[in-house]
Amino acid sequence: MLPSPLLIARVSRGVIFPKYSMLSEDDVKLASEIIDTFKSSVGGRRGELEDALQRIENKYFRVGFDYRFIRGLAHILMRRTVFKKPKTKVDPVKARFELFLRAANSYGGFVLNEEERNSVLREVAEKFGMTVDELIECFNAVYEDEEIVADFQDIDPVSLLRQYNLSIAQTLLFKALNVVADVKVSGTNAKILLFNAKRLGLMYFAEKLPDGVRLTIDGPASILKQTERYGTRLAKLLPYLIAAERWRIRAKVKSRSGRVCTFYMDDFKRRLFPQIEMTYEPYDSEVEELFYRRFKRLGIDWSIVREPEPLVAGNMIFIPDFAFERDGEKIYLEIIGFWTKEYIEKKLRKLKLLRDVKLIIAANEELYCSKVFKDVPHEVIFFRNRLSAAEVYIRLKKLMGKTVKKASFKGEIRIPEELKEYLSSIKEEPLSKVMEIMEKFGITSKDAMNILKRMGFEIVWRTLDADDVIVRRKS
Amino acid sequence: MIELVYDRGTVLLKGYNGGIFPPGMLRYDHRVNGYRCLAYKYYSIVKYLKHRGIKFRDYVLDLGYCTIRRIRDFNLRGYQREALSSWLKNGCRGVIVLPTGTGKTRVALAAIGEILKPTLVVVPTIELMEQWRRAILRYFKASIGFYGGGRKEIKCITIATYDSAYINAEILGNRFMLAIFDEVHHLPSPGYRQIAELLAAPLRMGLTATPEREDQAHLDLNYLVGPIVYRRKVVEFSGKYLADFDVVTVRVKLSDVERMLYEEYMGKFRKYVESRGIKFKSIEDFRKIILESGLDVEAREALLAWHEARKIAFNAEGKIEALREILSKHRGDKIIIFTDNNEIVRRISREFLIPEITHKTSDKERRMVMEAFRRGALKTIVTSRVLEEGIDVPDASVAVILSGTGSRREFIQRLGRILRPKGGKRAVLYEVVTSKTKEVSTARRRKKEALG
Repeated sequence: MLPSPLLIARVSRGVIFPKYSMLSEDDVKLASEIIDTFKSSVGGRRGELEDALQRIENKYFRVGFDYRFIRGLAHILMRRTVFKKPKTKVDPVKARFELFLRAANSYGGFVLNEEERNSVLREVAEKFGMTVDELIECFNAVYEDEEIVADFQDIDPVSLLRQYNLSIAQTLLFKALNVVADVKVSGTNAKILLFNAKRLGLMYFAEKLPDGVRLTIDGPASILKQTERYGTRLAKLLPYLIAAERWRIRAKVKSRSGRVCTFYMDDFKRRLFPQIEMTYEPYDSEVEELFYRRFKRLGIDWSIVREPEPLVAGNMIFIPDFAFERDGEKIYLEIIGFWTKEYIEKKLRKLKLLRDVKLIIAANEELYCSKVFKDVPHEVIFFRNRLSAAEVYIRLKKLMGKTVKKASFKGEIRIPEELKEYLSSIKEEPLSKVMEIMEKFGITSKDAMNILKRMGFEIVWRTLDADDVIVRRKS
Repeated sequence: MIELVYDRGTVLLKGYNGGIFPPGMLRYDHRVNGYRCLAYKYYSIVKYLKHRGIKFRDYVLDLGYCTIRRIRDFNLRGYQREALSSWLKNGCRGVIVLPTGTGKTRVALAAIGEILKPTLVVVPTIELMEQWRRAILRYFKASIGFYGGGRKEIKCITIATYDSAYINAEILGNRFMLAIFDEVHHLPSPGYRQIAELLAAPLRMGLTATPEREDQAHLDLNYLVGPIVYRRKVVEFSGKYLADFDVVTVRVKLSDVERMLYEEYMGKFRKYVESRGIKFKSIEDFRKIILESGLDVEAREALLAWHEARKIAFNAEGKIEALREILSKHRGDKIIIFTDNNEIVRRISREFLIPEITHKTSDKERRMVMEAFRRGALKTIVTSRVLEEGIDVPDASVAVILSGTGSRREFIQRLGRILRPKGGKRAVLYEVVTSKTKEVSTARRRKKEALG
């Protein structure tokens, strides 16, 4: 991520485009020159490195490179560089303080000429047992440009440019109001993604797509006011999003002028970004690991996948522990060990919302008496210590070929009570006003029209002017 | 029954299905199938529910166990007592406007003394955190925590910087009963206002000498903190509580070489501006040039020229000599020298052996210097912008402004620094400007706005 002033982006018709490096030959040449400058600066002063970077900037600027691009690359490399305070005989802060005190004491606050200054310098140098030059070195040692370049972590030019591209996309997201990500992602990656979203204090809303899921990500206050508060956190989440197998990202972003623009990013440009590897997480529990091995040993013609693609339950993501596949048929398994009551209740609430998939729930026997499984529309197995692979196989056969009710959640829009109250009070009202109020309840304009029709309203166009449209109760 | 819970800067109403609150107070959140509002509305929600006689459970504030004990009388002056009582009368919400140097902090301390519940104090700078801590410890026995400057502690009384409170608003949001915003004119900015919005603390006090903002955002203080409950002007205090002061303007001529370079750079800049047909009335126009200059070589060169010209005007060699002259008249006095430019700060520090305080000064050195200055072992400080606001530098009787950006607030705050009363002594403020450059008009504007 870069400081905002270094972001290069242009806005055209409400869409904001960051200027990515296309990894051209010229860009690679510039990148390697900057990297070399850092490499050869090791051992020298920070001030010298900064001067050298300034010279590169001037040189490339004149042949048409944007100086923000050059500084952006240097900024990324700065983070790979270790600076150290120069070694001095005496703690610089102590030496300086002594100088200031002495000047205050002897001359009423400050020295006014060379003579006074030299005498103070001599006295203090003597006190610390060093020369005046050494003392002056000490005096300067607190300044940043006197730091020593101690170490630099090397990188190849193309990787640097890819890093830069990710960084400017992230920098652009600093001003994001939300991020809508369509992803096709493994269960493991989804888990890591959602864990990090939660850790960052973000919230998501999930919808099912033909091939993957749509996550609308923002924060608690986002529905209450348009806020860029979560921008930096959304930026931090970006690497987890582009680690997905397929991804398409749409974000609402505030531009410099304060207007809200849209930012798009998708995996067609994958080549421009770093390849991000998620570290593989071990099994959640031993039960799962042992079950996996036992099922494999059965040697049957069902394939088994751990943590398959995420499913959408209500508006939440649910990642089952396993998926079994045979002849295009897919059945999921969720193992519920012994957890706190709240945890299980929350999980089952999710599972009840999951209606259009075949799912087997394997629950710890200690939960047997619990009423929580009463309305769960799935196969339930209870197990004691180990989950029997054969038992699961029997259920798989049972479920095989059965059709599941395709419950559609579309069109089932929840109408808040307050809104119902308001709507039932309407006889005739301008459409724009009604829409504005419905929008306040978080209802999209498309849904709003459906709700209005369902509640017995008609929409009347008096003229062709959109402001003249009214909502009227059907008589 | 309705349950109010705190959720990361917002209040969630569990078990509420609509029908009680007027529209606009809450919003339906489809992500959690429930109603939600920003935490600052907690105060009005509770008031509303109580007013309608509706029973509810309240889990919003998490105040923990905490004892704050008063150990000394506040000895409030008449106007300080008035300020406190009008704040109390307004339900412990509102802004108090008093000139710099008249003891706003004391009023806030007395407010803490009335409430004696976990309190958050939000201040603009790290220096002010330290200063507030000392002030609180003078009057209370209580544990004090810092949030900001690399520390994250929530205690009975927590002092945070605006920056850190903004970043951590979700965490701080429900831990306090009372919130005090020092230099509250910062609060309405688009970012910082979220501190107040995501905060559930029902009792709030704002302090400032200058609440008005050019962007008119101060009007929002009404809902963020409360209305202005008490206001007094500088003229009502001068002589009695504030030391009188003189303003001396020292004009410095550019040397021939500087003048030549200055004209050359300004000419270059003007030529570009004219060729592009840019009329520059405001900083906005300059900003436009900066934005354009990413790729446009000419624009960048023009901007660099302008910077160079400005540098010459603001930091002319003659200014260093003028400073030398001023200093020679004030040996032994407590002096603060202000300049915007870090290079000049460094140069003055090196040449005159005067300690410097900039945003790059290490905590250790800053603490040592400030402490020695306070007790009089050091008599002079040169600084860029960090000391600007609210810092107590008692006894300082001379201020020198070597360059400035010409903003009204800045000037008042800087004046405020030497306006601390001290044994009938007249304070002096020197302003060193370069004649026949753009800077003269800046200084004139600054003074007019401050005094007029």
